[in-house]
Amino acid sequence: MTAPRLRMTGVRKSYGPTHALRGVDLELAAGEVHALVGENGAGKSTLMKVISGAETPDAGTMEFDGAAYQPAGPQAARRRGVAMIYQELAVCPHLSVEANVLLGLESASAGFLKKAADRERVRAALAELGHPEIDPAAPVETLSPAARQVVEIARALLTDVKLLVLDEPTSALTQDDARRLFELIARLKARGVTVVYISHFLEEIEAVADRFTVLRDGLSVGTGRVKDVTRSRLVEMMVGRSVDEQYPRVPHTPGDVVLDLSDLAGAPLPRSASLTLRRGEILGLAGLVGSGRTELLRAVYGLAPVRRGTVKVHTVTAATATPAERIRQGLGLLSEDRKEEGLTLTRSLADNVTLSRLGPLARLGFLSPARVRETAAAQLARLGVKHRDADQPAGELSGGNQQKVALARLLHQDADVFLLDEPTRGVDVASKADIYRLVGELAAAGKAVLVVSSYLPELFGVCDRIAVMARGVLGPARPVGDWSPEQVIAAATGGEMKQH
Amino acid sequence: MPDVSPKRLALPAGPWAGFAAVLLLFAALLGYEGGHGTFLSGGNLEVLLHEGTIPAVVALGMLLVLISGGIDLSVGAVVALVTVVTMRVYTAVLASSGSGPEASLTAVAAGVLAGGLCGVANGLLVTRLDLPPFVATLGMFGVARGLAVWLAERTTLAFPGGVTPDWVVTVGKTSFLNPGLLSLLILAALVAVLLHLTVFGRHLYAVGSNEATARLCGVDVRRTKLGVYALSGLLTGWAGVLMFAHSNSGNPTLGEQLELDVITAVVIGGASLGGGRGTVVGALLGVAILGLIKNGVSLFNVPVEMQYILIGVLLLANVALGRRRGR
Repeated sequence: MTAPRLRMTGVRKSYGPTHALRGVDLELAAGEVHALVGENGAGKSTLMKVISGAETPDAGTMEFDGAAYQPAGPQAARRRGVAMIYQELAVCPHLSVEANVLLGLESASAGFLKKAADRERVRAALAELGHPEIDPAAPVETLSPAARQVVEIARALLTDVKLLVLDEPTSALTQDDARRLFELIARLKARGVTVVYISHFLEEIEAVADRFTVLRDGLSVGTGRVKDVTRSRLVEMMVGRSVDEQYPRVPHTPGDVVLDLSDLAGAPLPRSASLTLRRGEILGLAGLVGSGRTELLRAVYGLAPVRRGTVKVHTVTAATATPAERIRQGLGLLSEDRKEEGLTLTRSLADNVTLSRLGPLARLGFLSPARVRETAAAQLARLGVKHRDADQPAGELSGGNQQKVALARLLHQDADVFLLDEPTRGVDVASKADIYRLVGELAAAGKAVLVVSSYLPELFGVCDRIAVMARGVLGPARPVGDWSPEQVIAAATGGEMKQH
Repeated sequence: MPDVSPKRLALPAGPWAGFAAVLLLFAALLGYEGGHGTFLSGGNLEVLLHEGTIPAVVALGMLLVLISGGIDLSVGAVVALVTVVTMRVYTAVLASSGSGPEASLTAVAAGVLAGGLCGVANGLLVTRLDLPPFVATLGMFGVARGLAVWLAERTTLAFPGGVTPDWVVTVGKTSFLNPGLLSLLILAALVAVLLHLTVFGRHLYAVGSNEATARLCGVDVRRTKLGVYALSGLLTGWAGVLMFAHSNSGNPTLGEQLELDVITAVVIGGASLGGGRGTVVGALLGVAILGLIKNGVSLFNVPVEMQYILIGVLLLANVALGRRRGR
């Protein structure tokens, strides 16, 4: 047998106290599509950074095509034939397709670009990827997300790529574009390129990958052929425990209606959403990324414009309101983007917990620092946030603890209606279970919870009812027992499934 | 809270280190050259404080703006405009009423108000037209300077009949008990309280640190920013009145490069152009460091070009060290 394309042994990487990788073994064969699966926080992104040269491992060895592999940086990795396509595409929007594909690879004589020759190279690469329709002269900002992705892959092709890493490549794609991407991957594979495919969608993995490796808590916990494994076995390996332990149930019963949306439309999303939410109830919103679920929460909360429809909170009906007014009405929003919006990472935990409701901690506009600190400390303790003291900057905590800080803020706010947008994104498995338990306790205490999640097992494990958003239109909410995962996926992808 | 603990008030360490470095530098020069005992004299300290008062008052406003994540390039021009407005109003009221005290009071109020209005205009440009603060205040810089020259009819305005009111003489005189200097101490304390003990201050740090989070938490980001520019304008207006007294005139050419000096000082004092960082103690130290360098350079006959290089290097070293520690 020939040497594997890439062999990693015992790779470790720590960031301060956080052990992102605790000894990962990974073997990738030439010309295979290898799925890398694991929950958020399992170490996938760190592992990819190590492979693509963006991070240097603390320990462990790597071999590439039989020779030692210790890239000094992404450029060095690129020269060895390793290319990475990140979820957030790295294209320059104002430049043309051609300029983007060639960036850093321009052929020149005496410093002048050889445009004609280069255009041919770009055209050839795009044709080889099965996308000859993309015009090399078009500015990238005019392209769809799918075409932008092709541009990035074309760039990799020009550097004679041997190992291509795709991180959640379908997250911004339509069903149809995803299918074309799978065809493209097949072409690359036929060329002998090894593709590492990272995805949360197990059905995609079944469709595209030959082998898989499961990461959990920084360890590789299983590897094998996709054909030989069931989905439930994969999930079990990812989660590391049975579903019952992961989703602790706290008994709760629905009460009065606290949130009533009627034909709510934003600009441009959602197109139409109606729902009622009761005290003591957990309602899940399923749907594809970009279907308008986040926009719905933001429109209700006053962070995004409302075009049409009504929002009734308790007895107050007002389609539009500022976030400050919504907070007073009892709404609380947990942002899906913890780093950019959910928390201010440079400020202290106490600041972060109390920021949305400083009123009771102040007299005539003057804050009582002692009360701010005590209040925050009590909430942090209640949620079991691992921290040094309330003065610690939020950025020093791990993802799971940061998320608990964001939740502590909603508790301090004394919210009645919790709008939770991807509450367990980037959160470790143990913290996830804590958050699920908290959600259950909130419902038991008579709070109403609306959860947006792209992770179906979570919605099924936590919610009382589920409604599905497809292309900006929210379907009816049905008890969780009336849904099967397949039905939710079918509803989320709308009519597109029927085309296959 | 972190920001009122003694540790934080004494922070940031950078400015203290810079302050000590500059003192040491001149102390070493003192030992080396001998003879220049004036540097350490009480008289020289008085001069330092006197010359530092105006930039320090402006720095308090700039500190608020920088914490909010903005910048204010108009302060120098606004100071000039305020001196001209103050003199114009003084002259007009004195001519119509004949009462010196009434003229003085009206003129001072008009001067501070003019500064406040410029600040509100800056704030509206930033919050209503969504202009980047750099652009909004660069525009105001031009407008204010132009207005000042126009109002002064391209000359320097002197007191009518050459009679200077007593309070102007007092404020213009170098002294430890100078009312302008005392006003600085009071204003500095007020700004420190505003920043660290009020809801407005907490909101201000949050807006500068992460605007999206502030919005999520129901903070009225626009109102906070508008308030910041208005306060900065009022402080700049007061600095303009002090400048009026120090220079004994309404002079549209005053305050040139004041904005750059003040931004340099506040940044040396630990504030970040990215927002969310900065303290009153740091800002005042920054002004003191700049003042010491200028004063020391002239006293020790160090070539004047050294002053610019020293300040530049200090700024770069301070920020570079701060970033290194922050990471």
